[in-house]
Amino acid sequence: MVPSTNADVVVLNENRVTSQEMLKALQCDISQDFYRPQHISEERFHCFCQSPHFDLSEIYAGSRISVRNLQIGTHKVLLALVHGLDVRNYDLESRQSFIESLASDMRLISEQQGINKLILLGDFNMNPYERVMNLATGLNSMMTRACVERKHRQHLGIDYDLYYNPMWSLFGDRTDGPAGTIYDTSNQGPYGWSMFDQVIVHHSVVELFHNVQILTEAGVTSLMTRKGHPDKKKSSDHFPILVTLGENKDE
Amino acid sequence: MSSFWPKGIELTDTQSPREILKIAQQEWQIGSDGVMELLLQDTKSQVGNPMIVVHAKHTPSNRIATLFSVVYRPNSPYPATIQSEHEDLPDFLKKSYQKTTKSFFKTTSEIFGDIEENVTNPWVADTPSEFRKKLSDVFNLGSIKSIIINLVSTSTKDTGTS
Repeated sequence: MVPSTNADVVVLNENRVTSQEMLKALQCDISQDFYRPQHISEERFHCFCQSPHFDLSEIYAGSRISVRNLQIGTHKVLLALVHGLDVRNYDLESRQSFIESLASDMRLISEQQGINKLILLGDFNMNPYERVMNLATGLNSMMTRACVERKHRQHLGIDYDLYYNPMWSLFGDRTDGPAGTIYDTSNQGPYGWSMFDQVIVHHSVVELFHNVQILTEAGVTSLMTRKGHPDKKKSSDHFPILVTLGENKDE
Repeated sequence: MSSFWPKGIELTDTQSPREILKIAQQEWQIGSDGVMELLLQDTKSQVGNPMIVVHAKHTPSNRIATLFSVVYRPNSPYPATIQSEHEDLPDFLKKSYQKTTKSFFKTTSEIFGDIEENVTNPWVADTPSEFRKKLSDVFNLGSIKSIIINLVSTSTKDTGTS
């Protein structure tokens, strides 16, 4: 997947292959420039990078969150890698509570680092339309760029920063690519498709976000079953997402 | 002579978990010469109880890691329980974990119904002195020590080459 997408940064969540093996494979198959940026925790997220320019050193390690410094052109951004509580082992209330706690962590880290330019990326185990993803005290994330132009909204006298969630644009069968990133028709997946894998962008860095795609191929290898669902036997029960970020040339 | 006064209670010792954590915060500041700091974050637990999340911060690099959290009921500082964030890891990342396998033979509970089991939570503190002891224990866990060392470590990026 990395050669076909030409990705500069690779992030894997709960990767069963060790980070050393993964790094060796990236260095042998793609580029010797790949390295694993400085990290505090060895556990949930494996992050690899092709250029030191991006930094990506870990500045916060929680059990399901890892926050990294990310340099995009002249912008110093915080990239939060997230793995929400899973649907099979946690009820909706617990998963909502995790998202609220994530939002609270983001406020703390942002304050500690003196940076409000945040990008969240990962498997949230929540759909963009779920209440806590939109709630002011939750992730406060909106469907369109225009929705976040007012920068924040007030709830009980407190200002909460707005986030843009571009994953809304990829739902259903009237867009390019699959209808979601995961397919499940059990009682935990009543809509069939879910969009658990998301990128969410703070209003201050919306202009740095260029595109997000759900990938169904890794080079010549299909990641889909014949029905077009993620092929968990061959790769994963989630489709990966490819996020394009960059500084605008006219800046 | 019989004594009806509960053992282990000191009426002069009524510090709440937050007050004890504040003392820990000062101790860290002094003990590390200002290099390490404890951050206390107020939030709510999954069932809505008040929760204080304890983070360690390496001041020179501004790097932060979550250590554990303390949960109690609203308006009642005790009992308080210490929850390690790292219990939440997937099984394949834990050094040891419990696995349930199907047995060929039926267990007693399958034949006669459920059997009550007494589960002990070693991280619950009922009094300030118990909380101090458990707080000291949690800071001395191997997993917590690793986090602190990782935070302080200035090792350069992993290039994967030897």
